Amino acid sequence: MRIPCPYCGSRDAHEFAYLGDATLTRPDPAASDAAEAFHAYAYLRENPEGAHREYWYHANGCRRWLVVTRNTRTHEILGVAFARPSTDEVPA
Amino acid sequence: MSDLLAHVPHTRLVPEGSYGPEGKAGVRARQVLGLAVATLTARKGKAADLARRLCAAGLPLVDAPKAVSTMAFTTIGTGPGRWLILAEGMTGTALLAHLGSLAGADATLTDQSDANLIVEVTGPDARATLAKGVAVDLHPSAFGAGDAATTVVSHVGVTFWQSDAAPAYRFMVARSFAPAFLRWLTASAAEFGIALSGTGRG
Repeated sequence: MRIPCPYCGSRDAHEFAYLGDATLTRPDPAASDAAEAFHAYAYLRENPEGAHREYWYHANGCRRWLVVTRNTRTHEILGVAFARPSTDEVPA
Repeated sequence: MSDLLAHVPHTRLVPEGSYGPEGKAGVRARQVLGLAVATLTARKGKAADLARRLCAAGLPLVDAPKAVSTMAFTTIGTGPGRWLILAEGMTGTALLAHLGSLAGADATLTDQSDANLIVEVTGPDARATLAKGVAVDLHPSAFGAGDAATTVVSHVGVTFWQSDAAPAYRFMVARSFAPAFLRWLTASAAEFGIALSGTGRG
């Protein structure tokens, strides 16, 4: 599987470290159901078929976190972006 | 692997010399010495401004995996807002002082002059050799002079760039991983014959 890194270009998946689901949001620790919400946030995962948004870290390349949309059946990459959009674009 | 390198300790650089069929040197590799190296990382939100100012001062910064050379410097993009700066005929201290005076508070600088080994790989069979371990497309239509990449070769992290169309490639490898990298290079190039220089006599 190859991942098209927005900075480096097409790279083999072994250059990246996988974190997982990029759709989760950290719960509010002050909420009354915080314990249950954090349990779900830390441990419970869907296992979707088809398009899945997930975090990949380009450890052996540009060292940026990416959000990759991957088809879990075919490994087709449907979209890639920096996890934290850069405010540092250099004009051409 | 064959016994090509059986006599070379794993902890030492592969000694200079010829490896492979006698009289053939499809690949030439040499250690490039005498370069000062620094990393330059833009502070948050400062990359665009920094690149503009340093370009105007004669230090070309392109925010992409490119190697750009002037008479005095080569800059290599290694990540968004991050570069390696190489300079010939200068100490690391002098390079850092120069970059510091240009960048001011907009960047962090680190002297990397003693951190890496730089190996230049050339010859008619250079591409065929690198294809055995570099998982980046090096065909001239995809990767040419001035292109750079940070990647892994045989489990060793490298930053490399194509310095001319001949082609010539320069690989920068962390010093302590250089023996492993040179073993991979020598073994991979041996079928073509490789002339290795600048690594000492072992």
